[in-house]
Amino acid sequence: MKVIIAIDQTGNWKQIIEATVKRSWPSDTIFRILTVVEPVETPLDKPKTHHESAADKVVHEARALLFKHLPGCTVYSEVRKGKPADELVTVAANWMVDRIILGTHGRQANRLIPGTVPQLVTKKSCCSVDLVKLTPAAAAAAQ
Amino acid sequence: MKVLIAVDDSLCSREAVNVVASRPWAEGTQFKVVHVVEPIAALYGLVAPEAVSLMLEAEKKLKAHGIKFTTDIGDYLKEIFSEQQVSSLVIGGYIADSVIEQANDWHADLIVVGSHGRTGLDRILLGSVAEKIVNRSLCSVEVIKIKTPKCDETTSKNDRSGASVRQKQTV
Repeated sequence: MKVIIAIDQTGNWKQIIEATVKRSWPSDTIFRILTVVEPVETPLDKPKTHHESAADKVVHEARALLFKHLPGCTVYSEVRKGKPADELVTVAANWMVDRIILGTHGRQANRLIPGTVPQLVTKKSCCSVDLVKLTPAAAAAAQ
Repeated sequence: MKVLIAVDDSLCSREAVNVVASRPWAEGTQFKVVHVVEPIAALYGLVAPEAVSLMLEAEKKLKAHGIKFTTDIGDYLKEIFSEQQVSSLVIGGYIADSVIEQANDWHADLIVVGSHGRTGLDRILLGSVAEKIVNRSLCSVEVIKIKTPKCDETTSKNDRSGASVRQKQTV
């Protein structure tokens, strides 16, 4: 089974990893922790933006936490540049994943206007999407 | 863990049930299969009085059909898990609202719902039950999709060679 865990650079990623750990997984499950950074133009001597460095750190920590709880599983981590929803859908389709896990605050948006990343991923992706309900209090505590 | 599976008599719902059945679950996980029959009676004001009795009849038939396939799904899951772990329920009401209400009352940890994958005008007019559930539920929601040929189109449309992979690590 192939699973993408989509996280961002806020403290919410811990809730997503914890929810992932609570689910049961087949022994051959491969996880890919993915975070997408929207591209920002930077001077040539400054190749990494603050967001990219923060993303690197977050995926490392998330991978370590997942591996701590699910030892023996295979975990890849990756930072991509682009539009989050498009990148997630593309990676999911190219890698032929079975499930995408991502967090949602459940903010309601009108369906006639462009939605949030979870809405867009749910709409565009070809695989199952597991939306972990994020608790604001837990996120604040994590930050 | 408590898992609520929202079903209707569609291919995507069957797929959602099959996915649930094929997965490993923590010991003692409870499953509740819920089907919601939407009230046709809500349209009474818009139709001729002679049609009301026909609508009531249709509503009864829909409910009877709902009970049949919900029980079938419940029995199928009971064979895979156990009698004590699976229950089924047919209720009347608006689908998204009723599913969320059931999930809240039952303190569900996860709602599993199949997606019809409606796009364009269909989506604007009919909306997406899955989307409504995702927006309003207090617990996590998993939207199960059936893989279709459209997936390949999506991939080629979204794929951009410029996307950079910054790091990759294997454990």
